[in-house]
Amino acid sequence: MIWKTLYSRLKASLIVMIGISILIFAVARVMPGDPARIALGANASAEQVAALRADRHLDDPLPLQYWEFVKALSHGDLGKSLFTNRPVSTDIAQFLPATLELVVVSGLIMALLGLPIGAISAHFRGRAIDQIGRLVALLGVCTPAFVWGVILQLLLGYFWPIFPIQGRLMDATPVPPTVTGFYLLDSLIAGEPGTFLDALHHLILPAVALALGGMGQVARLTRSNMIEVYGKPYVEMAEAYGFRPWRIVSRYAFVPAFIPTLTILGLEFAALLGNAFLVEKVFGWPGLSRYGVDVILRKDLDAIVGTVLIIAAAFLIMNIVVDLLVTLINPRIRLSSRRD
Amino acid sequence: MTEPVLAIRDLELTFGRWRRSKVLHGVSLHVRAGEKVALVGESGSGKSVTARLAMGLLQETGNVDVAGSIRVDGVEAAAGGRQIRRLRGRRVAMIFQDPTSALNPAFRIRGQFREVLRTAEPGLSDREADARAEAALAEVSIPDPARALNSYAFQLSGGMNQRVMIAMALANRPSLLIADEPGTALDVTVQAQTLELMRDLAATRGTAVLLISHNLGVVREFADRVYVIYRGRIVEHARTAQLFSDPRHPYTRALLAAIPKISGGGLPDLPERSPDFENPRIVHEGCAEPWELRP
Ligand SMILES: Nc1ncnc2c1ncn2[C@@H]1O[C@H](COP(=O)(O)OP(=O)(O)OP(=O)(O)O)[C@@H](O)[C@H]1O
Ligand SMILES: [Mg+2]
Repeated sequence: MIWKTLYSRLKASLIVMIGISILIFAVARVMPGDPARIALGANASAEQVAALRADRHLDDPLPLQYWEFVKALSHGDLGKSLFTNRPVSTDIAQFLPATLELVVVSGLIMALLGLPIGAISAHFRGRAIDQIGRLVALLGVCTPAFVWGVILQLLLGYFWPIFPIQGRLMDATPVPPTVTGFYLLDSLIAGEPGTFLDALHHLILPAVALALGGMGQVARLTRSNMIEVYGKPYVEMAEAYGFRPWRIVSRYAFVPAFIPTLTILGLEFAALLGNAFLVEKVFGWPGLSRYGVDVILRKDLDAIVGTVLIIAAAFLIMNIVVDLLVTLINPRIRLSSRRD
Repeated sequence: MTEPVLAIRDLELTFGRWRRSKVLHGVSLHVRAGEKVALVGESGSGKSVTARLAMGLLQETGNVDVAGSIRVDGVEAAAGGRQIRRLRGRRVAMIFQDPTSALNPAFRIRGQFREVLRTAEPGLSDREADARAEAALAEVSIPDPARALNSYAFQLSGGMNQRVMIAMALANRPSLLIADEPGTALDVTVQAQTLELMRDLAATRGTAVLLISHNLGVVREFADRVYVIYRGRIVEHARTAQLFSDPRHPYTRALLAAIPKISGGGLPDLPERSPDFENPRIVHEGCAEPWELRP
């Protein structure tokens, strides 16, 4: 049944990917401006521009171009950047890990702050601790990530400069040999704790800035779901049977409330990818989102399509993972599905 | 005589901080070890709140004002707090109206049972806890205890869940068991089984049982003594036989007079509310509260 769920989700995702690819393919080409001219600059001659257009099949009809694109994609070729003249897949491979590292750490911060804040708020509902928790959550929700970025830079990078505010490592720190592209992991694999700490040091501010919005959303949702659960007979039962309050908050009320929260948690996690680009901009983070914005501004056709597809794929994978987790964690679904 | 296991004296309860509504106006009752006592009254008369106060549960919501005294197993519980909290699940236990919704849907019976056992013995090993849980389930005639432990509440029948809950309630050998309309959400056979179990318990272990009900038929069959509650006041207190043969309070009389008209033994709806329903409490001979006996 897990496999059935997985299969149907994969099928749906494939259809979504095809739709997105057509859409972004068309939109990128319909946008005003000649990509060849932008790539070559104002000083290039008309012949040079025409040659580049011909080389990249830009004068072919759209459906034909799309067909060529799909054919290339089937051997993993995402085309070539008009600007760097490198394969788009090489660019993406260079920039994606930085974004994923940021997003994964940010997602962890989001969950590890949001869930307990919501749970504690719910436990002390109506009291001062709850008010504080709700205020924190609200601030998180209503302040955009890049504003958090600037605020954190000012407070912890400038007035009280305990964190670096640009890049992934100090200039003096050597980049660890690439295994995963995650500096945190690569530095540990290479056995360089100093690099690890430096990477972590650089990662904290952007990851927190990115996390706070989703953190607020998760905290609010956890709180309201848990307050609902606190009204259920099984929580009164837990109290009547002497379960310790701490066990009730962290387990007997938390888990039933977490099941519906998990779906939203997954969506928020995926949304981090979308929010990452302004944070990457603010923190000079060499990630894919920033790359995406740059290529859009340069109208770098294949790069735009490639970046959007990769981000969409990450989104869809995230959704599938969440669906599977929901199936696994909810005993009702898990057991009802085992029977068929 | 020894001190009653549960002694509630002049209990008053007011809900709300600003918009106050008074729900209990001086309830007194007691239950001794091995006794089966019933609290009957119509819907909204204050039965459940009395039970939840006795367990110290309602006090924790922080939205209530309580006056009077509740002594449970020698502990003063009216104000709530740590002492009564520590008795819960060990010296006092409660069984609920709908067992299926009173068991946590996200955990197997096994985990919940371990938690219950560990309220009395925090260091209990998993294996020891499971062995005791199986024994406790066998005691309430659950055919395959190991399978029940591995199940979630929604996989078991209502009757099974009821037994599971009773087994949990009894697992730590409480001296007081409060049953708030046990099994009324379930069918009649399960209700009857539940009462049978509780009767055994009172007889063999000397557990004090407070049964809350609005079913006069059940009360007549089960209880040694009966308190009739009307709008937050005890209006009559008698031995069961006395109450049914010689009801003296106008409210009780009206109830008993109305009984033959209905089937199933539920509490009849009294369309006419006479002002003399609010008459003072009537206590039958030999039924005075312990503290009223002393000069
Ligand atoms: N949390 C609460 N806040 C305000 N009023 C409450 C609350 N809980 C109960 N009450 C009120 O207290 C009164 C007694 O309620 P209680 O639940 O004890 O009735 P009951 O005798 O158990 O009735 P039933 O037979 O329907 O279970 C009712 O009028 C009810 O509206
Ligand atoms: Mg009730």
